[in-house]
Amino acid sequence: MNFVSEASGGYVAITDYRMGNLFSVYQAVVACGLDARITDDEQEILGAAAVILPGVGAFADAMRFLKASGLDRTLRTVAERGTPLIGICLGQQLLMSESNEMGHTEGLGIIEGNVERLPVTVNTNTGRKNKVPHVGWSRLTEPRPGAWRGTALREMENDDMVYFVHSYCSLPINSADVLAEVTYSGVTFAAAVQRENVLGFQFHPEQSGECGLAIYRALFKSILTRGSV
Amino acid sequence: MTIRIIGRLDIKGDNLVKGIHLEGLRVLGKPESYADLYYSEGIDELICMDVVASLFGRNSLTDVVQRIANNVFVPLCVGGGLRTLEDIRVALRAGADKVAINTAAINRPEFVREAVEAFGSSAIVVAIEAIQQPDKRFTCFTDCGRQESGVEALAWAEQVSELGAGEILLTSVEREGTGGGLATEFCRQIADAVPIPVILHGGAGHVDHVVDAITEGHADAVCLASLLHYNAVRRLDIDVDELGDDGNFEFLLHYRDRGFSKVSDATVGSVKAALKAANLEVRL
Repeated sequence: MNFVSEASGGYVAITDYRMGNLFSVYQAVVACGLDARITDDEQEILGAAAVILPGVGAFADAMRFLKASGLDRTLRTVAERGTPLIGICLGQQLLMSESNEMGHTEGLGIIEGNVERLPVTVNTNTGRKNKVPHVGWSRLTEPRPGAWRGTALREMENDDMVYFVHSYCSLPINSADVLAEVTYSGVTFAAAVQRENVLGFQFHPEQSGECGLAIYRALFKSILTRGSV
Repeated sequence: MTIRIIGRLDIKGDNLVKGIHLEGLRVLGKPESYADLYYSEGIDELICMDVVASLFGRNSLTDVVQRIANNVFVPLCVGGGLRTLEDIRVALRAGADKVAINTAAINRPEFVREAVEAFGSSAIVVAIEAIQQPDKRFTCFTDCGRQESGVEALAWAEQVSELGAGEILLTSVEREGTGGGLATEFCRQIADAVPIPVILHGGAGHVDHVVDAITEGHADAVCLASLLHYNAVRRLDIDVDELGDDGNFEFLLHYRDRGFSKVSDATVGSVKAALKAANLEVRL
């Protein structure tokens, strides 16, 4: 099904800030029947039906590039205008106020909270430490009953798993901003955050098989038919 | 932690090949046919390895990777002959999510740090291809298991994790392609010593070997080729005339239905069922 035809000028802008798996995100968005554009152009980003901020790599490098290029202001404008803004992995972390990854760096500050390193814990059964980065497939949980109703996660089934690869995680100050949680080695943290039109996934929907594509489809369907996330 | 089952596609030219000890390459079909099949059957990740690239100093994998990435939405790792940051950029642009580096890292360890700084830890996998020496130590080999580096595997694993590598892909070259079981003891030494995930590859000939890799070897993921390919080769529709010329066609032309005697019958599903039966968590 092609959602683009339902929307006016409906393309998804994938923000190119020289960090991360832009092409993998691009292929997944296209597979969902959407028009995707990899871009660092302010006007093209501001004209998009939805904006994705992907990313793998270091928080400080990413912020440095966003500030130097002025894309930090563009992305804040996107958020303020009510256009859906979707951060993925590092992109989710960049939405937060600040990160403690290798020192202290200010983020975009769209969702209040910190980014902290995943703790190393000892498994009481095996006596072995957990690995960081957290690489692999995990189940998402609803932080509150009904939290996924009407959201991009509305079609998730109990056994569905999504793919994570990260060493840091976001800790939103307001629990209402947490859309989904995940537990890794006994530690529970935010797997997805959302405040109105701003959404962040710590996992990679584009690498999460049919379940991930279903999340993108659900997300873009709401965007392009209702104009909101 | 959920155990990942990773399919490994060794590629020569446009063809999926399978060797023994990384040598003697039998053509098994088109890599994208296998990728699509494994994806539809629930593979957790795929690794595409250009098995001769490092020997000839070339990168021919881009088109194959692009064809796979168009249809496969699980993590895709690409390796073989990646020597520069530009090589990595090209692989990621083709749709890879991660790259595996071996020869270039051994030749110049700082390359690992530079790659991590440019693309992030999660995109950089260091492939360690090791052979046990008469003195019992495992040393690293480069150029598809042909060149001994003299670098000791455990020390190298610790060094690359300090340099920022996101994962280690550990291959026991002498077991690779034999179906005789994975190098569980060797894996345990490495997996217990480094803070990053270790993927064990080489030698799985039975679903029980995969279980052993996790329970005995402490691997975080297992990478499979023969165990899956020799079942898939009988189920896939393969037109030999459509394949490229690279590799040895003897198997595909004459022995395809027989499979490979050293490897029992398995699929992604049967491997995961065996792990689940052993109380290990898998994605079904």
